[in-house]
Amino acid sequence: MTRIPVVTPRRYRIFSARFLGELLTKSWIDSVIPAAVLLVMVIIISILIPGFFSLGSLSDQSRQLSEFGLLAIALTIVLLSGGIDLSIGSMFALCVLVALTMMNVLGVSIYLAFGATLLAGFLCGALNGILIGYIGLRAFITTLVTLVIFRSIYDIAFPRLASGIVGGFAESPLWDFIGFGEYMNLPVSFLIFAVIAFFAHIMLTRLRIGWHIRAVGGSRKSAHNSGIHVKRTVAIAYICSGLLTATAAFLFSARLGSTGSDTGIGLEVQVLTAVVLAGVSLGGGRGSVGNALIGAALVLIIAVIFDAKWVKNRQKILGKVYVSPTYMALDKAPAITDGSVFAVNDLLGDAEIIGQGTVEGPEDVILDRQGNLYTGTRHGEIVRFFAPDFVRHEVFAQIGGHPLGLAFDGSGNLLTCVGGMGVYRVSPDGVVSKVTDETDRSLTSIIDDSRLRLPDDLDIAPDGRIFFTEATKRYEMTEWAVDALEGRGNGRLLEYDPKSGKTRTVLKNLIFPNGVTICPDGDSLLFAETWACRINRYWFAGPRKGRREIFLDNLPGYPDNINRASDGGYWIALLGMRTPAFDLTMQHPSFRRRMAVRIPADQWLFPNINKGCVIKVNADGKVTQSLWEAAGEQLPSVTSMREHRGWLYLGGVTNNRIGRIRLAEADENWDANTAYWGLSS
Amino acid sequence: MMRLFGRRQANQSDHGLYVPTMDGPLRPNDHLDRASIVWTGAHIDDLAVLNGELVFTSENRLLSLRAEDGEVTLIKAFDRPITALAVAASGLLAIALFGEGLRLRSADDQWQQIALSEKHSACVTALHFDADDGLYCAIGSNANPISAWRRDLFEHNSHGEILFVNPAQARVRTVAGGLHYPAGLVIDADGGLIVAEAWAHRVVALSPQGAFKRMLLADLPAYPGRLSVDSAGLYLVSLFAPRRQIYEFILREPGFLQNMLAKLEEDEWVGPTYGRPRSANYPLLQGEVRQMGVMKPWAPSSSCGLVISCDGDFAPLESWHSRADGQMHGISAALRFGEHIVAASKGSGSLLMMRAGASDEH
Repeated sequence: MTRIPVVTPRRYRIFSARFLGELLTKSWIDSVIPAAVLLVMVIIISILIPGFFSLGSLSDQSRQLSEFGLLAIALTIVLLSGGIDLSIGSMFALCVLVALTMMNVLGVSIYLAFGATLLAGFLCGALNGILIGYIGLRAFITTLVTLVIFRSIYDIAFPRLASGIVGGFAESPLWDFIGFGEYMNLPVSFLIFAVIAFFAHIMLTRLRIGWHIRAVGGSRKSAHNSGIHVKRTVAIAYICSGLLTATAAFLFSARLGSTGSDTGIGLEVQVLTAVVLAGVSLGGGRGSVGNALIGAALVLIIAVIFDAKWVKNRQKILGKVYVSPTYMALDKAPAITDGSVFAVNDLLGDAEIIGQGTVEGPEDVILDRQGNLYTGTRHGEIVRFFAPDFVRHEVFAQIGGHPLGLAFDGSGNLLTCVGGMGVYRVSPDGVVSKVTDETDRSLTSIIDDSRLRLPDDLDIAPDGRIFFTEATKRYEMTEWAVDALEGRGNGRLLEYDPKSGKTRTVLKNLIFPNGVTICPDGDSLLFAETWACRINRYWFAGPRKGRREIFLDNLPGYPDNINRASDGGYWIALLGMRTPAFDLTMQHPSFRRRMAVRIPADQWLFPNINKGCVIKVNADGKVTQSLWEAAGEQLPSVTSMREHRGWLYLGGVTNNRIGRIRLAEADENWDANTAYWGLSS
Repeated sequence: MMRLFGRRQANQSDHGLYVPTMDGPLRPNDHLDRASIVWTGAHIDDLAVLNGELVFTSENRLLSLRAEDGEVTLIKAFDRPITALAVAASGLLAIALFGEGLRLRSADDQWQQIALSEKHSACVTALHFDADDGLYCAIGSNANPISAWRRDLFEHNSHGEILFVNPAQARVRTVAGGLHYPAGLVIDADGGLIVAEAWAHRVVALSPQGAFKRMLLADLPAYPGRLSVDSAGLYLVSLFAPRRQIYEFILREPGFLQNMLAKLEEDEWVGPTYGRPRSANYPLLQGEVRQMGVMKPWAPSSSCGLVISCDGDFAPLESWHSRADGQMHGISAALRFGEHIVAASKGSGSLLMMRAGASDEH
């Protein structure tokens, strides 16, 4: 059975592919795709940057486009001739220098200055043209060398002329007109550019020299065979490039009236990107002024988008996606009202204040055998207050980072965890040396966690091993509290062994491990997990080695440093109190994430670190006492406390003072140095 | 791009998370903290002027302050809290008693009682007489008592009403309903109603019949409360608590919000307050962390003090502030009293007096 041929002939008559085929023969078809891309970019930028198409912005953009477009045409001509000109960036800088020297330093007439600038461009272009066209050197290498030569001349001359250029002032209305003027609402420099672009287009498409350039670029041999003077044509292409570059430089000089050491650096790469992106062939022979224009506009728009939308927002985006909260349900916090051991009182209310205004951020405090008081400050110092009245003080050591936890070893060296740096040792005469700043890198971490980011507190075991905590490996010292929003196990317990000099990670995935103290048994230590509101005990030696158990759970606040008390128990600083609302947010991780993304950091819900207290526990982990300052103005947040000879000394990382109170029922001869290391020899 | 592709469900949109900054006539200062305190007492609330004396309410007491010597005398104490106060040109005085209704005192000291329904009497926020001794009555919400105003905010309610009471006939008529917590009310020169809708952060003009006429102040940076107008036709707007982005955010987080309302005590909620929260359980925002012993004045505190004066067209002229480091928060009422402006700071329990126009000097 045969089908009646009706549909098929008709279909081919109406929808022949002839139109498309003929369209594809047009030379400008090369520009269609870049033009479409440009159109898309224009639409995108008009959405992304609302003011971009305002008159003021457009006027400025079109002036930049004029200069950049001239360079793009210059390079297009060279590429059409089958060469490449890498020197146009340096050539541009050199011409800018000539123009500005003429106008600002020598003060000659603008015509002479323009002539001199063109001459500079001509000479540079001619040098390239003679070397490549007549002597026959490779274009890539030659212009790379002239790039260096022109740049060197600029770098030598610019410092000598810089003050003259900046100090001088060009008295020329025409100069200002070119730089800032407008004619029929269009910037003058853009009009100049448009005229030049028009003539360049005519030259390349309608005049003999244009055809010759294209022919040479398409095939040197065929061009030669058809009688074209190849050498001269090539040289002319480079000279055209030089002249156009000089013109661009002149417009640039008129617009900015000044230049800098980085003028023109990398410009050749931008221009090359522009013309290649727009379809000018690197192999030569194919391309047009239209390509150059499209490419120039495209690259300028991409640069603006990149600058305005990415460079300026990268940190913002990072800040928004970095916080990664997790689910953490805490039990209902114990009451801090009457009847509870945590009941608010005013035992710290009449604390003696030490060093108010002279220390900022005394996270930890410690006393030596002579009773002198030491603390770290956020200025990167360890300050020593002299006994007995703690009025006289000095900078004991300068470290650079904020010293947090402090501990004395058996020889009287002061060891400290320094935020952002590592563990450091300060000898009794104030000499600072590094103990450790890195540990073994974990296998699954994207960020390099071998470096210590936020070492927090430390203590020293009887055998000399240093146990210290790193509160979080995801946040810097200044944003430590943001880690609370995550509630994730970002921290670790580490051990430095002085025998081997090695640091290793003992426990990881801890929730902001903070204070650490060696128990009197010498086999175990206590460490606080701040955001989890608990104290853990870990055995690092003896028969129970490697065991970890919870020592104290569900505190009403966030535990910070832990230190021994004279009666065999421990002091624990609560740097802030839990609030039911924040506890509730810990059960809503996506809420916290959205909060971090959508509202500014100063309005994030936060642990209440404006109000803290000190609690005392016995050796079995039973809370026996709490000490508060009811008003919360002198010592709003306590991050550390140290018992010494019947007094309790109190530090706070957000505070600018140290407090001390007399303890009613304490051993007046008890000193931690003796308790740890025995009587001094 | 966000605008093109970022549209999510309505409560996820960033639109509305923005709280306008205080600028221009609203530029922050500390004028409220520098005002003279003429009386202190907890729960000071509403103000009015009667025969040249300042009349004000504090909890269940109606008091008056003599202009010459500042002496305060008790007019009458009631068995329940007074929630609003108004004085007519004729000398008629009206108060709203929580859970009961209205009491009116004539110029010859006769008290008259007008009962309101339970849902109305629990939330009378403001009273204002018209020229003929007719009484307009703002009901913040018919769903929550006035003490639960925070809950009303978090429930996204618009259950406010305006009632009209004719004292002669003791008749009550509803003029307008469905308002976003009307917390302030005055009558303009043409007899039209001007209402502060707190939860919508705006002041609107309504016709005497309650129909919407036009917007007077929109998108205020704090929750507007009581309004007053002086003889020159200038208005004072008292704003009782600040808006914060975190509150706007929580209002758009139904999951967290419901849990907060259901599981937490009211003094543990995140939200605006009249005064600085006393509860240790009140949550903190990062910007409120006390650094080096100092609370920053621009900290995002849950309370603030703010009075704005406006011209006859409600264009803001100047403002009196108490910022995060100040005390004079939660301004519940303000009015012109002779040469002065008096303001009731409910958050601190203080009656403040300032020279009018004093802020020009600074």
